[in-house]
Amino acid sequence: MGRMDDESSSIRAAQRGDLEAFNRLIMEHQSIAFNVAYRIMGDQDSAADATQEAFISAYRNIKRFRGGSFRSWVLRIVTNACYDELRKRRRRPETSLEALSEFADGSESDGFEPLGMHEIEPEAEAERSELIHAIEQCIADLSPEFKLVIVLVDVEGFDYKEVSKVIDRPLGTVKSRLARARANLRDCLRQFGELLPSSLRLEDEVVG
Amino acid sequence: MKHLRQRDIEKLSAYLDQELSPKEMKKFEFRLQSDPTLRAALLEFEKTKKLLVGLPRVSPPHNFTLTRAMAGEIKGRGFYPFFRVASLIATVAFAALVGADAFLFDQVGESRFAAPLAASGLPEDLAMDAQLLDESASEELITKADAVAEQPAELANEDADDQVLPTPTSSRFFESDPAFGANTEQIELTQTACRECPTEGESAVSIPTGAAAERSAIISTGTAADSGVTTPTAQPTLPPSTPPPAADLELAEDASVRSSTTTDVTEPEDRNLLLRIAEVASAFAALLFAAAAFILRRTL
Repeated sequence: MGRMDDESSSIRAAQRGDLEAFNRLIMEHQSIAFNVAYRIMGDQDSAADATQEAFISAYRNIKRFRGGSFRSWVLRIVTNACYDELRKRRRRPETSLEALSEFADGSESDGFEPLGMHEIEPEAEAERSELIHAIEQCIADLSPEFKLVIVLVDVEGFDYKEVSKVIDRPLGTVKSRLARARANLRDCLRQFGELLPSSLRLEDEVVG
Repeated sequence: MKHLRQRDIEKLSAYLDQELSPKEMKKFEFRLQSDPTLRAALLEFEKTKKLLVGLPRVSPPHNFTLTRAMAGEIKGRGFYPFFRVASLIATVAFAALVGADAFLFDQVGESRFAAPLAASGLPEDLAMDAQLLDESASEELITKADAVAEQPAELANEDADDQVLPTPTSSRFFESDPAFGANTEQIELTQTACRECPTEGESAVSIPTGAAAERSAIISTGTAADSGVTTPTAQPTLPPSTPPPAADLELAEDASVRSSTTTDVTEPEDRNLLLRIAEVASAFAALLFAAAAFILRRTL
């Protein structure tokens, strides 16, 4: 409760132009903002750019915030910044050599914070890295709308109502998009069956 | 291969997240007990969700806090649309002023459409004649006098009935040719309405009626008058030293009064100066605003 009060007072101070107060809000939400951006964009540089742009936009428009969940409000700005960047890419598609080399050798593991994976054997670590890349590849293949919903619910643990606020769509849309995203992702992951842990290995069955 | 309807997939997904209402939950659990396909699909969804939940978080490469400079730049962004619009308005104003200067005013700032004359309240004929005199002055009264001067000699050999020549139009009146002036012994501008012409003398002028003819200027030469032939050029001529007839004198006085008012350049010059100042100011403002917008655009 005290944390929410702190956030409310920081928001009010930021609306009065207090930059330090706004930076406190950034520190509170920058991790989730960057992770959502990363899942949507697929690479850290683009995600960082979109996140920074989103926070600048949030500071510029902080006076328009009318209460409710500040996290949802910020994440909506982040996702909009990501969609803008994706639209730009669609207009002028480009593939950097760096991105190609990262994809080829699969060595893009900098910055990851493995959860509950301390002191793993090198072989197991390599398999886990491959699994992560497989999942990320399947997420990247989803459409941006499906991608956002499944990341917010399954990766970030949001409930449907908050997702509804972030994407500014009704609950029914959230349910529909999430179900489709899960079905598509499951179909995609089936091709990486050998990478999956036996307990999580999917049956060879097509549903949908 | 077994298929599920989209609606069942949505229910399955919502059941997994416990986002169904209690009533829907009970109903769906009842279906799960009786439908093995649904149970298998639920298991698949659970595994997929577990894979996603286990995805590691990614550390941000840096903090995204805003510096004072960034905040200042953000505030500066608010001025960019203002400067952009202001430069556009100033440019349009500058173009309008230059256009007005080019099309509405001559070099001394006088209206090309003789608005001052219309506003002067003088009778139309007098105003026109005054304008003619004003604009012509001495050298602008130069006409095709020599051409007319030659005509009496030719016309002297013809019948008197054929001596009426078309009256020169006012447009011809303005055709200036310095060569004409050299051969002209005397140039006289007369009021073309015969009622105002002096009737004495043998040189009554036959003038065609018509709007153009009413304001025409007739050039007479001494040669034509001596010939005794009635022609437009055979006006009662006066030596240069001879005072003009009363009507002409009155007209000339009106014209001179009008001329003195129209040639009083103080007011037009003031207006011209104001116009120049406005042009320079708008151009300067346009440059200033455009530069500000450009700098903001580059720095933000």
